[in-house]
Amino acid sequence: MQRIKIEPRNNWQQTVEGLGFGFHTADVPYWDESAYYTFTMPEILKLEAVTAELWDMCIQAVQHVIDNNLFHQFMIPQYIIPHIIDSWNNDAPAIYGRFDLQYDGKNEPKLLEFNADTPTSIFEASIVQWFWLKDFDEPKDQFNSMHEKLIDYWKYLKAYLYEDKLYFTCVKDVLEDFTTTAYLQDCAMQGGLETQFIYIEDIGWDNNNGYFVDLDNQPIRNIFKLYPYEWMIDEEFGQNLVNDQLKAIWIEPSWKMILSNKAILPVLWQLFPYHKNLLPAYFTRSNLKDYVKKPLLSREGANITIVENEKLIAESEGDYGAEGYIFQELCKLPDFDGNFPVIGSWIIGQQPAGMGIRESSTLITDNVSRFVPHLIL
Amino acid sequence: MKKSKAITLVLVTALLGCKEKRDDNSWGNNRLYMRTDSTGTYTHARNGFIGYYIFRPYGMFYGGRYMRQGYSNAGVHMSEASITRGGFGRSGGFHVSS
Repeated sequence: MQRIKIEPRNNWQQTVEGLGFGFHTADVPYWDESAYYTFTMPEILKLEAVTAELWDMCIQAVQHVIDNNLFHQFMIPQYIIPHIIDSWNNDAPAIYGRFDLQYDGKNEPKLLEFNADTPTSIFEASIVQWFWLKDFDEPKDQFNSMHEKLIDYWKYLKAYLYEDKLYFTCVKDVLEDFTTTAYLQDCAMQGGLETQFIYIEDIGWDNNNGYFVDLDNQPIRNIFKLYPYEWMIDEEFGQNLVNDQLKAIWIEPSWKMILSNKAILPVLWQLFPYHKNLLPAYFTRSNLKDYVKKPLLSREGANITIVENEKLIAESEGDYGAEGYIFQELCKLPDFDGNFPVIGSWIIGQQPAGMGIRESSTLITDNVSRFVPHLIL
Repeated sequence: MKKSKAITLVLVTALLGCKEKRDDNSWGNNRLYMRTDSTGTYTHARNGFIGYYIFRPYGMFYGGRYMRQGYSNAGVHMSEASITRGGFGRSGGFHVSS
């Protein structure tokens, strides 16, 4: 694993915008092709195998949480628990997830967290970096079969949905979310599904019939959302997830609330102690001297505290933490000349599917991290 | 690892690729207009069909209530008393990256 500095393509902004990638630059650059990472094939095969194993462990962990009624450790409200259990027992369709891994090319990859409900950067990883590779060094390969796997899996899932259209929804006015959602809808359309878009603010509830409706007041039976459950269940319609007479299929399913919660990290450590790809994690600080304190529910590296030798070495601000924290042994991201990459390894349709790399200038990968492409040597 | 030789995007590039037109004065820096036609409702997308989306605010929370805005006369059924809207999305304005 190496980091190579290069000159960005001429007019790269125009090039990526042509793909539909309009959020390449915010207040600071997000898409960064002034460098790329290289991996050997054995390194990629390692990441692929670890991703598959972690997914298998996560599935076992969900079953363990349900069997032992550990929802209180996740601070999941009582009312939504039957919905979660139903979605699990009914094998409700799940499309994707992204494991964030610490990896330096030498030691075993370590799981930092699992973004299981609303993982983003899939469009960048699947499409934008692939077309970068075609321009930069077409004969080379990339750990990236995400696009094909998304189409194939939507096609496969069609039989498991209600015989009706599949809605796609996200919040208004956020280009990143809209692009991600449109991309997933694009893949579903190519998989042969009939789809329709509706902003999440515009979803209606039919009080007479007890189901969700679209803008034409037609019932919603299948819906993909890019909107986290922890927000949904605290909102006015949250109870309606349970009251829905049509029992609409929500993708991702609500059992993903278990995996997208940082409480899964100590549960995994309890179930698979000293596993080579896990870091010790606990609900209390325990005997950790070097640790990362993470809120159960947080996004983009918010409210993270890093302590080393009893000393605070990094922290981030944010509005999370009300539900509590977990403590994970510190495993510093590798340092490539002041750039700290985290591997986002994707699982799509139960299979490892590719990766994207975000790097930061600090140990915390936050909302000003940069997406950097990669290739296989 | 290799992808198919040809990757096609049916929807994304049609919606977003080189078609954006910002109007920062009206809606703020993070808002994006997409081309729409006078029918003004959400386009029903079918496989192989490239339509237009309206990508602008259709409603918002104001004074604790959901206020619908920006719709054209598209025959969207908003008048039925039994339908409530705006029960999801109060966290809107933040994107959901994780």
